[in-house]
Amino acid sequence: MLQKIPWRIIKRNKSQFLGIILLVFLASFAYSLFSILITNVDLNYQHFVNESNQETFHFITLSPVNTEEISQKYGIDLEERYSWDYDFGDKTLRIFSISEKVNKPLVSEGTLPLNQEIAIDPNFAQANGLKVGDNFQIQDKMFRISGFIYLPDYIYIIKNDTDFLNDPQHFGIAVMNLDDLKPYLSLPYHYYMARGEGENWDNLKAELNSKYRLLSFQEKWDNFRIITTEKKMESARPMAYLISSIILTISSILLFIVLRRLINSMHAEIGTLYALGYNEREITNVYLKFPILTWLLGAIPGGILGFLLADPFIKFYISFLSVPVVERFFPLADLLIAVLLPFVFMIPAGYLAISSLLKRRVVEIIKGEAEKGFKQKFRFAFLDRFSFRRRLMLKQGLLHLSRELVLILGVAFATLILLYGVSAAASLNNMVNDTYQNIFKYNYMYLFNNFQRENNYPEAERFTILPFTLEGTKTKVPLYGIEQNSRMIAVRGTNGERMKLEGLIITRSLADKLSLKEGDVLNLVSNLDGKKFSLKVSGIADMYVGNSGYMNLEEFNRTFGIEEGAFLGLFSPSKLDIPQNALLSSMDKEYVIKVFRDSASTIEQMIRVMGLISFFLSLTIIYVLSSLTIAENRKPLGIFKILGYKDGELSSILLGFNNISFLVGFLLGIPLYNFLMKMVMNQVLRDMDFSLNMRADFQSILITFLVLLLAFVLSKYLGRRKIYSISPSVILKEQME
Amino acid sequence: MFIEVVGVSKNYQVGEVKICALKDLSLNLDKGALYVILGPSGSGKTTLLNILGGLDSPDKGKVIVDGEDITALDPKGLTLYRRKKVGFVFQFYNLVSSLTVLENVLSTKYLSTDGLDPEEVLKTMGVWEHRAKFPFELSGGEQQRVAIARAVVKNPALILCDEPTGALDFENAKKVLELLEDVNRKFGTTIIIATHNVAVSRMSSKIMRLRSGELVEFAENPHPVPAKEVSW
Ligand SMILES: Nc1ncnc2c1ncn2[C@@H]1O[C@H](COP(=O)(O)OP(=O)(O)OP(=O)(O)O)[C@@H](O)[C@H]1O
Ligand SMILES: [Mg+2]
Repeated sequence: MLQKIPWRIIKRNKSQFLGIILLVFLASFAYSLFSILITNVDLNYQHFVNESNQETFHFITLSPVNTEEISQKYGIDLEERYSWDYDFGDKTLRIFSISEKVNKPLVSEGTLPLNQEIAIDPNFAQANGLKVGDNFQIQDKMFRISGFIYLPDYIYIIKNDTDFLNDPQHFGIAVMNLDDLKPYLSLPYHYYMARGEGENWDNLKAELNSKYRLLSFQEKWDNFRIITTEKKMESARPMAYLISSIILTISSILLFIVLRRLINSMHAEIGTLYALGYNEREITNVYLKFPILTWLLGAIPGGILGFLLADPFIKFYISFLSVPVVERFFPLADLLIAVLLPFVFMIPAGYLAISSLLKRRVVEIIKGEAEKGFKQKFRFAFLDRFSFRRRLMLKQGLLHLSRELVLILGVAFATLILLYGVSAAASLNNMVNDTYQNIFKYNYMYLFNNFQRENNYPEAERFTILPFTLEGTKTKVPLYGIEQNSRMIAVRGTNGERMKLEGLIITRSLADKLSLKEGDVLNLVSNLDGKKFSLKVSGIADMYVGNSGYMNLEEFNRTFGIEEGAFLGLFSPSKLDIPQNALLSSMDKEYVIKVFRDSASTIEQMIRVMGLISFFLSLTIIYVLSSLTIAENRKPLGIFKILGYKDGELSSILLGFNNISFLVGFLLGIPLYNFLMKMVMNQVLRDMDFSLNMRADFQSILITFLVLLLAFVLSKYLGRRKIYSISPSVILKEQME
Repeated sequence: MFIEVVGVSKNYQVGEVKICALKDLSLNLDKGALYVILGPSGSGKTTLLNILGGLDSPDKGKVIVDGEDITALDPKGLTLYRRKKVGFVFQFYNLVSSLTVLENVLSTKYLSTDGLDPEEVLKTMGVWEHRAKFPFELSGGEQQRVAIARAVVKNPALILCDEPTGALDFENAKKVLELLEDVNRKFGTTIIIATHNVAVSRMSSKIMRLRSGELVEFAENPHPVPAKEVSW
């Protein structure tokens, strides 16, 4: 008999329970989706790195290295890599020779190429509609695509070291046999990949430099193409766990509140059962069905759906990171946690609600004494100076502070999620529209493989870039020497004024990251020869791209002992005709901007997901709380209706406090977001020469507000409809019984 | 004519049975009078009051109050009608339990533009000293007086009382009736009291008798007794 009670009550309070079930569902869903996603990518990544002998470092020299000698002397695996950039149309395919010791390609589909064959990366293939078995034309020759491959030093597939975003549409990598590749090779320098144990490679660097003329040396942790993936995974992990556990916590608190109210409202019934001779355990068992049922209906479908939907998300995510997912792991632990964690939260919450009521004496339970004592405490005399309606509204809110607190937390959290998505888009947009147009005014950047003495291109501007590391850390700080009155790079102060290039001027992002002020001293170590420099910061420029510093070229050369007038690169407004073999790299700004624009759609996707989660989160929380309040106040609502109150007035009296809580939650969400971002940026991106200005700007805040306002208005509308459906004459009838 | 009830019928379908709560009922009520509707349980008193008060609508017929056909109003219109014209007093008081006495009275005062002074009304009802208490801290009689204060304070044209004395003992009941009589006299409020207590009807000059949803008698009482002298 008693077993029927929970189902009946759930049916009667459908919307409330649906809301909680939805929240539990969201929590389990988010948790299982994110954790399964991350576990899969993590495990596959480790597998990939180990199997294919990822490099420890690589370097470029001007003359060929005696690999046998060096590898024996330093106990490392060393292998030369040959590569060639095949440009066709607006696309570039970087083709490598197949290596055997270091950075071995991992085949995800098909086979490694034989002669007359080529294997390409699947992202480029997908973006360009290429399949295994297709023919691919290179100049006048046809190559059969033998398979898809991944390279462990090109996990994040970007064309230039300095690119932020990948662009599989326009840039990809491929491998083929050296014999096939040889006819195209024309590089004036040599590229070596190395794998070995050790921390300090200074001796090796010195030897390479003296014998073979070292042009560049990059360790794994310094390699954007490798580290980006690891850092992205690292930054996604806390975000994913944070989001899902907060949703879970909020839904548990909500459930606790609803359960307690619900059970209190049934005090007469429970008291009667008690009086009839049912014991505490039997009654508890009946009422524990509420949390158990909501858990069953929410967590299990949520966890399973998260697991099923993980696949497309893994695909989406790896196209972003380019981690080969060869094996699909079934992380039972993740799924179990996603399903069981709500249980761990909800059952004690339900148990507490019941046992606190059952502790009272039977007569007390029947009378519902608890309610009365509660009300007596709150007279709120200080509210008397407000108008009647406002007074009731404030009283209602103050009586149920825990509810308002949940609402505030929920809205603050939804604000945080949405702000994250929106500002990510805004800051990328900013980068394109502001940084790349107003600050970097050049269109092409060329980096020579040797110091130049004479500038043969009158409209181009000289510059030099040298890589440094902050002493005692791994934080990269590249320094630029540029023309004193550069037309190509506008170094501006906070108010948009041009800064005079004297001493070392650092970017705002570097200053933020290292907490530097004007006048502080920066201790740097050269990445090329290990020399140490102490430089005083003479100014901070309003730039958010790159953790770098700028000096005028003359001072730069004097400071770092470079011959006067020498330079390494050119900024140019137009394309320069420089022979390929004189260049280490070149960059087309148009291309960078294009990559940004193309990636906008990926980010829009992310924002849509974020927006959806935060919209439903706030909608559900506000709706569940409102319907609880309305259900509790059915009788007064009925009386007020008889007296002639309009639905709108009643909703503003009963739920008006939610307006305040909503605003407080939203306003709380903004500093919370800024704090979190600072932490993420500082912790996760500490060692990277990468920085995004993710502070929430006015527009992002406005968009976030509008989306959440929509959820709020919708929940209010639903609440209003609930109030509308209360019939005064039915209330009168219920009373008589 | 203040209220015209023309051919009003109300049926309830309960399972297969059709219950006729009101049968083709017609009435004319004057402004400023005190009426008593008398009838046994189930005769349709509450149904009639609910229709007059705009809480329910008839299946057939018209109810015209102050020239306005309230049966033609939508829920919004009915809300406005109740707000402007009607006060209610119920058998079980129906005070809002989370509001104090004064707040309960303010809750209707708030709805009116030309209402009475809450303090004066509460004093008239003899419950001013309890103004800061919650309903559960009052006796039934006191609660009912607060309920009358709540109905009176907005100075409505019509007050509908459904068994106002039903849950009270003799003394308290008499007090309540006296107060209703006072209100009727002082403010010229039309008051309709539904009861099954024949004694109560003696205080009214117009008595309607209902039986099984039909008006069986609408009699003038040439010698109404002051509420103070009513006894049972
Ligand atoms: N919502 C309803 N559903 C079904 N039948 C109803 C409903 N409301 C009233 N009735 C029936 O209509 C008839 C008249 O009811 P009403 O409440 O008007 O009587 P009453 O005169 O007020 O009785 P009492 O003195 O007991 O309050 C009764 O037979 C009752 O059973
Ligand atoms: Mg009745």
